[in-house]
Amino acid sequence: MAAVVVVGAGGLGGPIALAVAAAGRPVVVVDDDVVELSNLHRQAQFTMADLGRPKAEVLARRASAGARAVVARFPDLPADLGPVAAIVDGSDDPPTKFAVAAWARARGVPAVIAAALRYGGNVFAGGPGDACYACLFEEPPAEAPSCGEAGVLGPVVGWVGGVAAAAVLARLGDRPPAGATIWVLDDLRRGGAARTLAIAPRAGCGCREAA
Amino acid sequence: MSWSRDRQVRYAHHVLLPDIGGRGQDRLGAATAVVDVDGRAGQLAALYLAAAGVGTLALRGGAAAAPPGFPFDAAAPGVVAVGLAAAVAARNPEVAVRAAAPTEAALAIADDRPDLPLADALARGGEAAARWLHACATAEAP
Ligand SMILES: [Zn+2]
Repeated sequence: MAAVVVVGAGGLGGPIALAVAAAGRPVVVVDDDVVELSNLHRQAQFTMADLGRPKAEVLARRASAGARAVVARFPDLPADLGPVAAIVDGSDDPPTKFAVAAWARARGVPAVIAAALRYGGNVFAGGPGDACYACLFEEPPAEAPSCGEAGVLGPVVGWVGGVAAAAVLARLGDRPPAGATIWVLDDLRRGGAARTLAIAPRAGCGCREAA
Repeated sequence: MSWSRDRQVRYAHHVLLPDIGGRGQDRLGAATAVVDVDGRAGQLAALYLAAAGVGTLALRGGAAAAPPGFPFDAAAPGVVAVGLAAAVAARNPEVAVRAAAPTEAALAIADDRPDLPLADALARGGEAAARWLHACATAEAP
């Protein structure tokens, strides 16, 4: 069975990889970081015994027997990657999110791109031919606060990661949703409503020229 | 509460948050979260609350037994270890775990059950835990 590539093995990548693997899909976990104490308030997939170990290796071992770890930084993927069904971004880096979206477009596979910050987050999901991540956000912001700079309430990553895992599994199901979607998980302090918005292609986006 | 170097590092990303800070984190450390862990979302909520630094987890339901198919505490594929209390201890040894008293009200998680797909359990358990933490960290002292 074709694998789901999960970029990032941290707060979002952890729940995403575990939930996708639990649904029976092989996962490839890509991350070049090691587990640190400052991760443990939100990265509930790791224990104290994992401190100092490569996140991708620990997470892949915990996910399933068929999971593979790539200790590298996206897009530095191995040549023998094998068939890929979809790619999910759980990184904390806007340029990586755009690179993941472009990679999915070039490969013709669905992309799910998740972000969590402070008390909320969002999850983009689109299939080949749908509006892409750059149709929505155009380009990486000049300045975007990371979780390390702005903080994130620990369990928010479980919430957003669970929504992202469900989104990629739906894309790979028998009746994949039509069109691109973004789930907006509002700041919990303002109610935390979950809204789903359909995303239309943007004229002039790189994905339209290629089509 | 005195803040060791380890504590400062572990909760660095919480202390940055508006509404939490060092005082909010201290409130979490002094608080008890009551969680029904018969369902998967409750199990995950408990684990995320422990990671986030709640002082005491009071668990109701099958916490002593290893939750079947629960990958968060498996050392290797197919090895479902230890149960929730040990999974908590492995993540955050500062958290006390006890059984909930019948009179204690558990945090609310809609439609939780043991066979919930992990993705849905994460979304529901994570959201419930996050709401509880924010309310606890910002509550006026009684
Ligand atoms: Zn586009």
